[in-house]
Amino acid sequence: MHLLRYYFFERFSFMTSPARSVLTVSEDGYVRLTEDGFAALQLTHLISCVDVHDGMPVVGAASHSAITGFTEWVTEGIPAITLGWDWQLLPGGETPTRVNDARTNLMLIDNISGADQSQYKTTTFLNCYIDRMEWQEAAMAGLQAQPPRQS
Amino acid sequence: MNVISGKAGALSANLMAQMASYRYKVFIETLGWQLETRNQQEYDQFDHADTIYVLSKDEDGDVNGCARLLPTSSPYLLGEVFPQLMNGQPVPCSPDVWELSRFAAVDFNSATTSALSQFSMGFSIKLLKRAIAVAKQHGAKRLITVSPIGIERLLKRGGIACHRAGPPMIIGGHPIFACWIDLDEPANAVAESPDGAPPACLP
Repeated sequence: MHLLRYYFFERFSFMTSPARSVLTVSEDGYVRLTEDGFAALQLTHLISCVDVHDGMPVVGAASHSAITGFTEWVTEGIPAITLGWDWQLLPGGETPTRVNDARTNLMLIDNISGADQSQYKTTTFLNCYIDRMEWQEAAMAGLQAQPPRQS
Repeated sequence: MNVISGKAGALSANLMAQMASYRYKVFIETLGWQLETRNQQEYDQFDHADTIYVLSKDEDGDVNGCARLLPTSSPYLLGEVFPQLMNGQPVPCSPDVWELSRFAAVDFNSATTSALSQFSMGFSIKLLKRAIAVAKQHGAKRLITVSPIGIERLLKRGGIACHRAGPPMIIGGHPIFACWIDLDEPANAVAESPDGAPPACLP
């Protein structure tokens, strides 16, 4: 039986904006924003983890030598927008890259009509957004941290 | 996959005991969760007469998967213990919304469990779709779960339509979050048994 443990990395905050949020949550749990509305927000790194098996990094599905994990980011205040994705670091690579689709509570809406743009379009937008972000340094900070106490 | 579902009173005492032992093995021994246990069995206050269980058994008759379903119109795990995961929103309270909890699909008799488990991909998705079918039979239109990040990764990779109710929080050393599963999404269509009949469901 393989056991997955996480190594946690220190939280790394980019911003000092007020805790009060102007976002609203719909009954279905989505926070609805236009692309520009989302782009105006700042994301704070929450946590990053590496997939570990019996104390050793797990090899990723994409490559037998890749190290994999996930990273979580969030906007300040409540309610917040949450954004997470998987990453992988290839052998010899210097920086990790995103793999798989973003995971979120965001639903993009049309600038004019306000209609939902669909989960697919929202995910596609966020994938591109993530790939343009400089998230790697914050996510990888604290790479030598000890695994959490099982409590 | 041999799936049985029903309330505790409709399931045999032996099967319920097997389930509790299985949950102990998965959540306590394997995942290290700090939960109340007794005689190496795991039950909590949400295991009661009206709780609905979805259990799978392997060819030897051993439990190799489980799920627990509760309507949010009665006390449930997220509502009572983890309301802070709802991103400032009130916890759901509706007969249309059910909670899925204690979901696991680990076959301890198999050597093919993936490194991301608690679950193996194909088997987990099948069990989940069976749990969805049972929930729909009881009137659910949406499911909500309190889950570790790993289950969301599994759901997405398995093509299950889901989205977050709020950001993850570190609780008990683990990042967990509340996750919505919309049962009307085509991707979450009910999995029927080969003869077209709905999954076996005891009253």
